[in-house]
Amino acid sequence: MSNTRDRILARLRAAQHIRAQAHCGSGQSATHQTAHGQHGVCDTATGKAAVAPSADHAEPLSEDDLQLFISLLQAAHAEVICSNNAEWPRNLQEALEPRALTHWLCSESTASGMRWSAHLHQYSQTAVTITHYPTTMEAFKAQLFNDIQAAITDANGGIAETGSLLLEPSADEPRLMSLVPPLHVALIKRSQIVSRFANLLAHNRWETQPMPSNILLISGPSKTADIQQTLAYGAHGPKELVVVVLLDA
Amino acid sequence: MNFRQQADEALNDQALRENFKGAMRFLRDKRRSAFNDEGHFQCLQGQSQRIREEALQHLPELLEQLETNCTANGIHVHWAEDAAEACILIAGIIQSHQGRQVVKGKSMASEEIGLNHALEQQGIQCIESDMGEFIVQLAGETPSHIIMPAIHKSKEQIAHLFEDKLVGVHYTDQVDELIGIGRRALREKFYEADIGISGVNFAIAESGTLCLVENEGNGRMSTTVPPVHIAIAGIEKVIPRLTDLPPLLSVLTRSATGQIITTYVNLISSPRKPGEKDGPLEVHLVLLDNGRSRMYLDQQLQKTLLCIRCGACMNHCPVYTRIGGHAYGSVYPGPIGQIVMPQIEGLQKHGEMTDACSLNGACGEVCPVGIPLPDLIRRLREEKSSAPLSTAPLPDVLEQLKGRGSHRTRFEAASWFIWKFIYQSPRIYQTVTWLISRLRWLMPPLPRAWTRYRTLPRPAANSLHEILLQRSQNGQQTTDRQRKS
Repeated sequence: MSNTRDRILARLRAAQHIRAQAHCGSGQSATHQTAHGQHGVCDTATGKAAVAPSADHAEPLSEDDLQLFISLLQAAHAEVICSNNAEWPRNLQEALEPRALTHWLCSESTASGMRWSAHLHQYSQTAVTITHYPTTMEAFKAQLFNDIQAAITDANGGIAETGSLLLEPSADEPRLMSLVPPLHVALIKRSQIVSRFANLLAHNRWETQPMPSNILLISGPSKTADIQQTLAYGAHGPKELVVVVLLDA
Repeated sequence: MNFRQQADEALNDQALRENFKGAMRFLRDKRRSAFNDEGHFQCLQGQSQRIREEALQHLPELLEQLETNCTANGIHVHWAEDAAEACILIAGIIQSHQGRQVVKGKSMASEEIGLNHALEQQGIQCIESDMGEFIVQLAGETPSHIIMPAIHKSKEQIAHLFEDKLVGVHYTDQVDELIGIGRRALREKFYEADIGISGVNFAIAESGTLCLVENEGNGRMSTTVPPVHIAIAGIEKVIPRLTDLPPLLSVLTRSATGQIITTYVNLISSPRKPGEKDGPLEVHLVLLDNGRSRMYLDQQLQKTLLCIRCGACMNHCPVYTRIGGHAYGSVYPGPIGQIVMPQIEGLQKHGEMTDACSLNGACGEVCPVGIPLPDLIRRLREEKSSAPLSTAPLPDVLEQLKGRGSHRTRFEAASWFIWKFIYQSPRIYQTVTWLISRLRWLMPPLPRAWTRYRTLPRPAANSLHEILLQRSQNGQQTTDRQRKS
């Protein structure tokens, strides 16, 4: 197999070599003209010329961008609840009451996971089972796939231009929490939302560290238009996504 | 059946034509509304083209960097020369884990290598989990479009299919219910699978990361639930940096389905790390060549490798819209198929489809990475009918295109020779056109291939040359008379 690797790379390098010689001979240039600015970077949302964002300059989120974030999520069929740090458990519970959820999955080590558990224990009208993610997924796979109706996780960031949540799964809140249960609640602080995808990358600078094993952008509940181009929700991922925006955080 | 016969059959299938017409219009409209204006598209296209061209320019270095960083992250990297080697490699990984049930997220590369069939022969069952691919697999068919595999089927056809093939399912043509049926059927498969296989949209060299985009969640399921994940990627999928993702993803999702972003963007950099609770225990990346390094040799044809598999070209192709994907008889249909397939499998096998082009240029206009598709199609058309290259020995690396000249016929070669002979000499040209116009009643009927769908044109009584000459002479006479009087 190392032979295959070497053969493929050798072929590619040989081609580069021939091309380099050809260019030297004919004096051809391989540059391309761009209509927009020297950097040739566009704002993905508008197509206007833009400068690549820098890490240190983090602007607070504009009201317009916040509204854009919310409306894009709603357009993708997510439910958005605007709340604050003190009241979100109550607001969330009221919003979800009609669904009569009785089996939740939440973290026992995150602040929001613990607050939600406590709130449900105290205020829920019906008996609720709260499960915490065991040491391995395999230990509760059947329960995860068959019994758990909803999961709540934090988000680590958000993008206004696309209406997306950033999740960085971890030991506290593993990958499948936001995928398997039919309803997923994500908590996001206003301060975590940035304007553009490029800003998110500039802010996190993942390339300078060992990469997190999994990074997710989630922009709505699961959907498909594979049957006669007709949109339907809940294909394989959660059928419902509820986003709680903490405006004062 | 050859391509012409398949195309003919498709043209006569009214239901298929209706389905495709509606579906393509839908996708074109979605794409148009996803870009604010032409300027928005041009700017993103320019940037994306530059990123992809830069990546191609440094392809071997980026592949090595990708391998180094993936390996450091705990991803096993393998290289496959061709389809057969890739299948053997993947089957080997599966068998080393005694894997029996495989669940697959969407991967055109896996279709390209015929993976499902190869695994089946080893007694390994491979279930498609993308809703469209699942439908097509149940029907025993191949995908007819690279983004929406079941685009050729109506919901009634799918309803009947589910009723026939799935246990305990009653007929319903309500799309929500059909999706619910698919969800339940596949949830079991995700749960039970030993192995998950996926494709890769972009492989990021600087961080050793695999980027996958999707709307359904089956990709995340396939790459997270089973204990082993195998990703297969063409070698051209590598890009340099994470910061290349925003422009590329924005132009990919808009071009493919008219979305500003897909529901899920999944960045995988390693298997389950110590302390983590889920994720696969092993992740493998299979880098597939299968003719791509040969495409890279040719200055013009290497642009084939810019492709990000969005499907916009086929959505805008008037030929594809009318005959659908299956008529091409190939893994990749439409304009991109017309340039990729002959290069992978040779012009002998796929030369015919290069004729299925009106050279209208729509594909080239909408390509988000600026592949000059019409030029490449034309190049391959020339290649298939060309005379063999000169007998001078070629350097080791420069190979002739597979199947070059395979469609060259003596009749066509002779026809062009005669045409050239007539058109190169003004005197001969004039003589011939005079003969045709005077003797037009004696013209033999043109071949049926021409006249079946077209009205036979009749040569005029005078050639254009004669008409213009006459007009200018009349005009001169009028001027002379005016001057005299």
